[in-house]
Amino acid sequence: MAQTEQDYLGVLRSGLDGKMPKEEIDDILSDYVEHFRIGKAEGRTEEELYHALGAPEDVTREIKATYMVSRAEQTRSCSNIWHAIMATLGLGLFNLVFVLVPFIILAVLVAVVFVVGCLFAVLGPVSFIIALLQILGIPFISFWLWPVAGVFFAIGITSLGLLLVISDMYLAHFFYHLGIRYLKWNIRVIKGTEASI
Amino acid sequence: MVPLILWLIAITIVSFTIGFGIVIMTTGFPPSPGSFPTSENSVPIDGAKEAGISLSIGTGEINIYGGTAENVLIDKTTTSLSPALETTLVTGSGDRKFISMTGPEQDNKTVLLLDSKRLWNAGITGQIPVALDVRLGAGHSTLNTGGLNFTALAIHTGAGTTDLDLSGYHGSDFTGTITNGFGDISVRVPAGRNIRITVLRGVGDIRTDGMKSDGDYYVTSGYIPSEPGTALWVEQGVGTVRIVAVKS
Repeated sequence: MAQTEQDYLGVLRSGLDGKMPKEEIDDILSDYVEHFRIGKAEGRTEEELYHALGAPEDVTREIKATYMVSRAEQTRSCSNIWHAIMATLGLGLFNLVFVLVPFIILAVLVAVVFVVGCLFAVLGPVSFIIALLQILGIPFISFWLWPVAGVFFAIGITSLGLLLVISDMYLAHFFYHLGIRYLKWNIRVIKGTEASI
Repeated sequence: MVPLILWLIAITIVSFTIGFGIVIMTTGFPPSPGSFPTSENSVPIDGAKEAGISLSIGTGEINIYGGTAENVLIDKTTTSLSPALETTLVTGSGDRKFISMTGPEQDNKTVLLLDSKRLWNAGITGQIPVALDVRLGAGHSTLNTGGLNFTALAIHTGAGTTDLDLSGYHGSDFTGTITNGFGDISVRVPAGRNIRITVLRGVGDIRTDGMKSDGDYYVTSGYIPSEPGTALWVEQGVGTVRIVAVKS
């Protein structure tokens, strides 16, 4: 069965449709139209050019991944980074290990720091009040063995909690930035490998 | 945002430093068990003719000895960071009284990352016979039975050592069991009494001194089977069992 320019462009369009803005798709497809035009002017057949470009399904996945990562870089959001990761996973099964696992570990780390920070930020004031009640001799819960020390520990716990929550924002930003760079590197490596094949 | 973070770091460091400073000034460093809070708990005899006593804690150390003030059945002192986390239940009426003292399964409180060992010192009366049941999840238990009078004795230790000293025991004969999961068991018996110890073998050595052995039975030198005597069952678990007959 003949593999034509229209076949190639059709696969690309159907693969990208709905995943990116129409203008972006048209822009990308125009590059491929140009590639076919120059190739045909040099005397090569559409089938030769079709094979030279690589399987359109693979190319579609690469374009999607590149676009999603670029969008996540421009507009930071959980949704965008998640779509970027999902798009990158489509480039190869091994990315389940090289992309998804590190992402899950980092996400869990950020979540744990946040939860611990919130817990401290809530427990601190509560234990502060309990320490004050113990000092005043009001029977409540004998939580602190040394209530006076407990007052200071409670203040420390509160500020540590706030510190963890604030630090977690920076940590999340850092991991986000790191993640984008890693995804870009990952796509580059995969493209390079395919090109060398 | 940066000044806020610096402020929070400073507040955290200063607060914890002052807090730990107060603790260290109060207890010394490292905190000694003597600086931990203690609580005392006594239960009177109140006319009972016999009693059953159950002592149970998750981890720690239990020292039991004979002798209390007049008309006091048990006089227990707890040394722990959290002595309040204990319950005492007294039931029974008339001639019989049952006491159950229970500590927490786990002591979660630590001071400066050091474990706070829950220590129980319990004096038990010798005025009336007592059936004693001791349960210790992990730790060391010591029973000096001089001045006590048992009808039954049971000691269960999950992991730890058990020292039972019957050398000064002058009470009536009784039946007892010692069960250890992991750890050594040491039993000292008076050589002159009619005592038979059955060892249910586990893993580890069995060392005896002054006892006659017959398979897994160990008896005092003058043991007469037909006469009343004290019978002990020792479940070895993993660890060494030492049985010593002490001449009075």
